[in-house]
Amino acid sequence: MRIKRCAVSRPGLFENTAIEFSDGVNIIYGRNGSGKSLLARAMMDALWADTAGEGLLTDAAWESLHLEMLFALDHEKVYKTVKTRTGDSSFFCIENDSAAPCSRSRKKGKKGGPEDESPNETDLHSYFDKVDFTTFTQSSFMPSPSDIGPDSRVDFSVIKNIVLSDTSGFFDLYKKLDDIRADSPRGSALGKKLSGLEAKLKDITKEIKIFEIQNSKKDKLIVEKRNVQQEIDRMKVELSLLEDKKDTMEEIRKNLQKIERLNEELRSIKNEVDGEQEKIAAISRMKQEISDRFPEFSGIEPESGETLDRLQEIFIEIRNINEKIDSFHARKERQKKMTRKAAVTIGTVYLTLLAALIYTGSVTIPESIRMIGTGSGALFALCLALVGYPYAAPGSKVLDALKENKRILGLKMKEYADQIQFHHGRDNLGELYEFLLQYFEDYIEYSDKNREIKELDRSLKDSAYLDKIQNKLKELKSQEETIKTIINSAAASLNINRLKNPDFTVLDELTDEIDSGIAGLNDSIAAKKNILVQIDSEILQHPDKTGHYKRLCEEKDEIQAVLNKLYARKNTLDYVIGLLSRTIEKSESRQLKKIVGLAHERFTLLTENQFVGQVDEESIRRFLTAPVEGLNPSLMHFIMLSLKLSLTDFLAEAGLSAPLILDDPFLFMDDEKIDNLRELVLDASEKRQVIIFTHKKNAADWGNYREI
Amino acid sequence: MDRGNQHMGNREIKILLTSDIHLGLGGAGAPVPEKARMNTFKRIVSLAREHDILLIAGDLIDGVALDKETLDVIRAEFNGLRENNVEILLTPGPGELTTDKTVAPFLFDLRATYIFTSPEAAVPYTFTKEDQRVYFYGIPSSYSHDIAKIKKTSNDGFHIGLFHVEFEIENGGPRESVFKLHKKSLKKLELDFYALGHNHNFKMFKVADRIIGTYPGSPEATGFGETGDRYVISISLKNNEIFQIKRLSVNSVKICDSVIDCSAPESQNAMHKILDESKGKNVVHRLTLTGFRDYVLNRESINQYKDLYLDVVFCDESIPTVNTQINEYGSGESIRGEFYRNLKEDIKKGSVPAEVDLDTIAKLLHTVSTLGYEHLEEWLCG
Repeated sequence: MRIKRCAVSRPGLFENTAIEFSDGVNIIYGRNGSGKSLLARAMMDALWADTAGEGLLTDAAWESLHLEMLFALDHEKVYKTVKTRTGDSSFFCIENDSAAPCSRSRKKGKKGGPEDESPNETDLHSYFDKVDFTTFTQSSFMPSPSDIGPDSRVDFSVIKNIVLSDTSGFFDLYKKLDDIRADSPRGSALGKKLSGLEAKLKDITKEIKIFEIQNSKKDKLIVEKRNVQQEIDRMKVELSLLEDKKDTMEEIRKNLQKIERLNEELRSIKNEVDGEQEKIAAISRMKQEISDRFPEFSGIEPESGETLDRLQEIFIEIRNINEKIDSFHARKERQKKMTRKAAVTIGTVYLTLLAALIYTGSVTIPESIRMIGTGSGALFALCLALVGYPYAAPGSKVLDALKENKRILGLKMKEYADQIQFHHGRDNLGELYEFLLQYFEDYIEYSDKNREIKELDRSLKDSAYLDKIQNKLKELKSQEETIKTIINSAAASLNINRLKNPDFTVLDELTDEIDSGIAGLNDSIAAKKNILVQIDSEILQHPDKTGHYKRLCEEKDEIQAVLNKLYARKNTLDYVIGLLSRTIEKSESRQLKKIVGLAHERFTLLTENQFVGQVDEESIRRFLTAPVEGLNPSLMHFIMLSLKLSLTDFLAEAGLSAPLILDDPFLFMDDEKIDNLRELVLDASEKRQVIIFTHKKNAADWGNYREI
Repeated sequence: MDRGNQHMGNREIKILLTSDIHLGLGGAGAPVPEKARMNTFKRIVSLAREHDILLIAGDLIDGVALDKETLDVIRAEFNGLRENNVEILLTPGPGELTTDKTVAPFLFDLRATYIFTSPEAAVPYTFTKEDQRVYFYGIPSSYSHDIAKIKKTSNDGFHIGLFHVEFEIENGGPRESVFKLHKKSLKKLELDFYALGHNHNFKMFKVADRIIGTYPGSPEATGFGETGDRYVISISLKNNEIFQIKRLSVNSVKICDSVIDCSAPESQNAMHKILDESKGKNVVHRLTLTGFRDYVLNRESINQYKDLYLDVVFCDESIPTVNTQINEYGSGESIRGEFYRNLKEDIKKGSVPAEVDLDTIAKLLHTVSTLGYEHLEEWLCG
């Protein structure tokens, strides 16, 4: 910045006084009380005074003061500031001889961001952002020694903004970065965003947690349902195994039944075979028996045998007739007995009755002798009839017929005997008959036996049939073995000890056990299914919010991802700020040393080593970094002056410029010091404008000279 | 208008189609200087002299706030064409419409034969040559006017629609100022041919092997996406049928647009190779660098190509890696120099915290140095 011109008015002091300034050294001469200090302060107030209420002049001083000042920043942009009375300074951009109002500071727009600014305003704002009132006064304003108090100092914490600034802009960056770090006390967008996202993440996590808790019961129900289902499935498997076992045992049973049938068949066949064998044995035995007992019949020819049979039939007929005759006679005898009995009975009854009647007097013998006699006579006749009836019965015809038949048959019998030359040695029928009676009893027995033998022989199966049933026997036995093998295999598969030699009883017992097990399982499965129904009903009371939950989780993941990204950037920012802090700390130390060195150099030059024992670099360093007590005003003045002259280099390095305003610097200086100061001022004026307000004319030839 | 014998002394009707010239676009940031654009326009007019009709399917100018000088040139060129019996038909595009969507009045002073101003397009413009008749239909560009509803007004002749529309785009595309005709409507179109403007890239449309429409594209690039040759379309009609369609290259400036991923190996060499291969005095080459760059960029070596091109537009979107930044800035007495030296030291000693990524450091520092502190917060929160 270079001040180009100012015009000041104050009744009684400045009558519209206009001062043109050069870019180099400017000496403003005024006698005591001419308003030099007032002017110097007014110029600074016009540039900075309304910033946070800072100012070098009081409001009362501005009551009648009016100042207009033209100044230029880099790139030759010219501005005007007007300050009058109490109030803010007005700023104008001067372009093509016209003055456009502008603002010194950036203003915030309606939406909080910076308002749009013109390029001229940008430069203005940028300058005043870097060089505020305190920075300027600390670096570029040297008050009059009479105004320097014990608390006057150059504060390094202020001027380090200058000594640390360079064209790289990293010091400014460091100052600004601190404001945007997440935990900046002023609050940063990053911090707000992180807080917002963290809060949102917390809310979502909480919502997810609530959801999970609410759903835990549902989950438990689902787990329980799953467990019950698994149990049902397990029982179904077990049921299936039991049913398989039952089927296997049923198979075993069927096979056992098959074996039984086979055995029956086997027995039947065996019986048949045995029967055949018995028959053969019986035939042989009977043949031997009849051969032994009836050798006389063994030579009978078949034809003779037939005739003998006929003979035997006749004999049987005769025998039957004899039996009939015998029975006739027997019947007759019985008849006789019965009639005799009946007559006796009737007689007895009559006599008894008569006796009774007589005894009772109902009948007397003399009176009733006729009647008694009649009655007795009748009775006698009856009894006689009864006894004589069997003798007179016509049954004898039947007897005759029978006897006749017998005679005929006897003749026939003899005929047949002769026919077969049956040697019986009997001549008459009676003897023949007696002979045949015994013979035929034997023969009957022989014939019966023979017939029996023949029947047995006829009943014998032929050999082909016997071979066939023998084969069948073998086949059945083979089948039996096969089925037994199947049974054993099935039994082994069931792995039940009791089934080692299975029988129906064991099978029944095991089947009962299995049925019991099956029934039990079915009951259990039904019960579990009921439980499932109940669980499903309870689950239905918790509507499915899986979609919402999924969205929440997705949102949580998204927020977390964003947070992770922001944390990474935050961490990077923190690291960079940390590294910058370290860098600046080092720079600070270095620059402090540098400015101390430069200031000490200038101090020595200015004071010609007058204070070599009192002021060294260390004391200047202490002056910069802490309030110093006990320094006399002149020494303080020289140190401050040296420091502010030294800051010229730093301002240049920082790309800043500010006019160095010295108010009455020669107060404590002799001519040599004034000469020394001149050298230093001329040196400084190569890098920045210097304006010296003085009441001494010594410096009139230093540069642009103006009297007020 | 009845033509009688025309340029070629034959029964052909020759039509030159162009669109989207955007005169007045050239300025700061435009890839093609306005002068080159104007030259292209004049070249088109010159080509049009060999045709019977010049069709302009909208956006002849870039906006109604056109300078007088440009309007004078257009008028003069059109005048020349009219004196050579070339008809000029214009369908206004957004560039020719005012804010209230009406045709800018000055357009009527440009000496075009006919400007389609009615949204109804009930009455086509008719061109007759011997026994051939061509009907032209057009409506000013608007997102609400459905060109598919425009039907032939007669059964004879050849019917051409001259429209400034978007054609065959995806569903749900951004709302534009022009009508969007979906490709499903292609088969419903009734006119014999559609001469279109709005799309700046050449396209041709066929239905069952018959060419039914074309975008000639912008004859001069309006942005870096419009690379290579730019065209106008020459259409020949015979016996009321399209006999020939030719594409004629007209652009004065060729645009090349290259992107180099600096993280790829040999990207520096690739950069120079690309610039070497496409150099030309009528070429504007935009070279964009992206990705992480592990070397210090030698801008001088790129700037030397500016003499070999009409212009080289260099967009450095690459992010120098931490090492590159250290190499570039780690010297010097500034705080920045010291900072990078300290960073280098930290990296060497392994003092950089594990949760801090070097690429993120590079991005942060680069954002600050290129975009400024003001954009840093945006990047941090983005």
